[in-house]
Amino acid sequence: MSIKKILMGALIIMMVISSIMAIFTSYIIPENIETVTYTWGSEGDVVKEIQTKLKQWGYYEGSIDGKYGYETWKAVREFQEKNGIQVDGIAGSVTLNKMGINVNTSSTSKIYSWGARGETVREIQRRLKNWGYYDGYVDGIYGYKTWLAVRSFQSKNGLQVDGVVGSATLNALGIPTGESSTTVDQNVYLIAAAIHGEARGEPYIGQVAVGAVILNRVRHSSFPNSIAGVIYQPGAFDAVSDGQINLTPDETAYKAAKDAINGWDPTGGAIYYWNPATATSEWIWSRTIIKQIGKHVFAK
Amino acid sequence: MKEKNNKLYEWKKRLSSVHMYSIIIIIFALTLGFGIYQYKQKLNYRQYLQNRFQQAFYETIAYVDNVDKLLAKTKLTNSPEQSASIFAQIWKEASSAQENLGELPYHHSSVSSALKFLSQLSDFSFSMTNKAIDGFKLDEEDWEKVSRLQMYAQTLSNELNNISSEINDGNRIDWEEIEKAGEKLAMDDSTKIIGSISEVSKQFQDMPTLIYDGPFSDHIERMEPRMTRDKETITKEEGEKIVENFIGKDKISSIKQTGETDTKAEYVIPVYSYEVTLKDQEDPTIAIDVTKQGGYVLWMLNYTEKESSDKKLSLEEARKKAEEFLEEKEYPNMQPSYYEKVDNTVVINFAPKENNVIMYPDLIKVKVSMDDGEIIGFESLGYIMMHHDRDLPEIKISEEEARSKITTDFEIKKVNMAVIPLESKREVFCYEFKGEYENNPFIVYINVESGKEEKILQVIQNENSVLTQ
Repeated sequence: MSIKKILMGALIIMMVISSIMAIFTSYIIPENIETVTYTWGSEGDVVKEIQTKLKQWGYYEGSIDGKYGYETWKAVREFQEKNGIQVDGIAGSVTLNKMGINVNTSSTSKIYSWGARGETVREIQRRLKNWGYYDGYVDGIYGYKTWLAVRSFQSKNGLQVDGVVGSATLNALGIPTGESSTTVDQNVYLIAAAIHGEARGEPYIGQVAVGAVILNRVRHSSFPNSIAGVIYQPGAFDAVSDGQINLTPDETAYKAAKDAINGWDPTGGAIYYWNPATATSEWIWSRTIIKQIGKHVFAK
Repeated sequence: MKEKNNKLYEWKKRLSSVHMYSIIIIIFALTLGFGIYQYKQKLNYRQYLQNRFQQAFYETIAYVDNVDKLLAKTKLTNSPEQSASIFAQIWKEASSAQENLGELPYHHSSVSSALKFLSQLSDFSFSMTNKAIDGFKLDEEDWEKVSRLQMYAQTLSNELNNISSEINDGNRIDWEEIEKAGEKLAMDDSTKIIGSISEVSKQFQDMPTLIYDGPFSDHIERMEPRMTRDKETITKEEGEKIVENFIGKDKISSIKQTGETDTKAEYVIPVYSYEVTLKDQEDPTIAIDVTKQGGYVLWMLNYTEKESSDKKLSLEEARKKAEEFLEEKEYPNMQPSYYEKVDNTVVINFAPKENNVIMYPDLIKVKVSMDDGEIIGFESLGYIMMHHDRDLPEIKISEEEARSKITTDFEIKKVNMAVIPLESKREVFCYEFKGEYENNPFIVYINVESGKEEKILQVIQNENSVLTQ
């Protein structure tokens, strides 16, 4: 009996310790990694690069045609097995890294197809839904319904109907491919990231409004006089404090940031905003309110 | 069933064996080790952060001290050159102090007035530097402002030095505590923490307004819109009619008022806000604000997702569309200046031309879709704030004289007359010389009264935009 008690005690202590540790390590910053994977049916220059490397190292015997077929799949599996990576035959970021292929800097275009996930997929779904091609969830996962929608979009727009979103389809969808948007101004990026972190779920005008508040602060004497200074001022924005600023901003946030920078200010010159439902600050209510947009109250 | 019981029994037996004990103890030791490691790392990060804040704090003190001393020196200068040099130093030191103070984790409520003071001091010193460079001596009014600023600088310097001497006495500022205390430091007098600057901030709150020729001067916040002043107030139904006319009645399915400016808000343009749903859309995709006085459209944004088309408008066509639009909305003689292409849209800036003078302060922005030429954005804050009949000063400098003020390497291609806004929103009447210097396009503005070079803009030109900087 006493052994049982000791055991139970030990278990309880362990549980307590692990929960304490969970609290310690709970400040994990949510990160939104755009996953571009290459698998069956993928085509393009990155696939060519994969094939070239695998051929050099003796895994691959087929021709370097830029098409991810059975031979490539087999070779990737072999490569994964030798290198201790999860053997799934899908060339994701880990596998590509091991091969020394840098997807971000390679000039090749990104391709989205079955199994792809991330913000761009979400954007693709959102647009297809708006135009009536897609009736599934906007969840950022490229599944069957997305595939169908992409195909019908492609056939309507005279594109090659393959259900794979490459640069031509992205262009037709009006989503900037990495290639065309050569330089994104760092200020646009910073503001877009702040908008995305702070006001993702807000109506479009509410997002422009958050961008406008940041710019109004830069011009205001009681705040730091640069965009980075305003955004990273300690305690100024929740999204900065909890790390949500590090999420990759979506297309809407970019658009809103650009409108704000171009001078659209839906707030009428506000330098503060808060959500009346969740704001705990007493001081903030001493500000003069200008107006409410979406969930946020804007004030001077 | 029986088998299950057997298994359970076996498991129990295994648990009670000594072998199992050691495994549990090992797991326990590992978790403990991991926990200690994590804890130590946390302490390291915490220390690192404390050090960063401590550095910013000491630097703030040093810069504020310098500002205090430099302000005292200004009184002893008797030539514009000397004043220019000292005010330039104050400009830099105050700006650095503001930057460092802004990095500390004080709640905005307890630090904002001190930040404002430092911004204004830096900005004011810059304007004094310019004044001195132009050869002017500071007048009575300027000196009065300098004295006042010096008084406040001293207060801030003393207060910061008090905190510093507390540290010398062995106390430490716990920045984490300050961050956690947040607004309590400013709201609740009973909360006292070493390092709190709420006390000194309170003294800055009743700092009298400071008006001078710079962007942080108090007059900027208090400017009144010239277009809406003394205009009659419209009802929200009348506003709805204005929205209807602006967007086109035949396109609209419904208009909904979403809000209006709070009546208590000061120094903002009171507006009614509307949301418009177009006929081919389910949800509202246009937001628009109409001023309560005079019923002007302050801004409009149409954020309908457009299915992009193959035929793209050229910039020239887009500009034409924007011009037609402005003409139709009764903003005549608008001159396009710079533009920027963003994705499939272009934002074009317009300013009115009156008697051959371009009025740059009266800015209107028009956003045109390059897909179908639709006007999808309009912004007229500059126009509503600034547009009025101006009494332009007499031209004292001829165009030839003005030309001679510019470096000879500058190849002038075009000359205009223009009113331009300075950063302080002060307007100056100028010759606008557009041309090239070492193959780079620039615009130079020469004051028609004094011949002073008021502004030089570099034109940044690429396939997507013409911008000035």
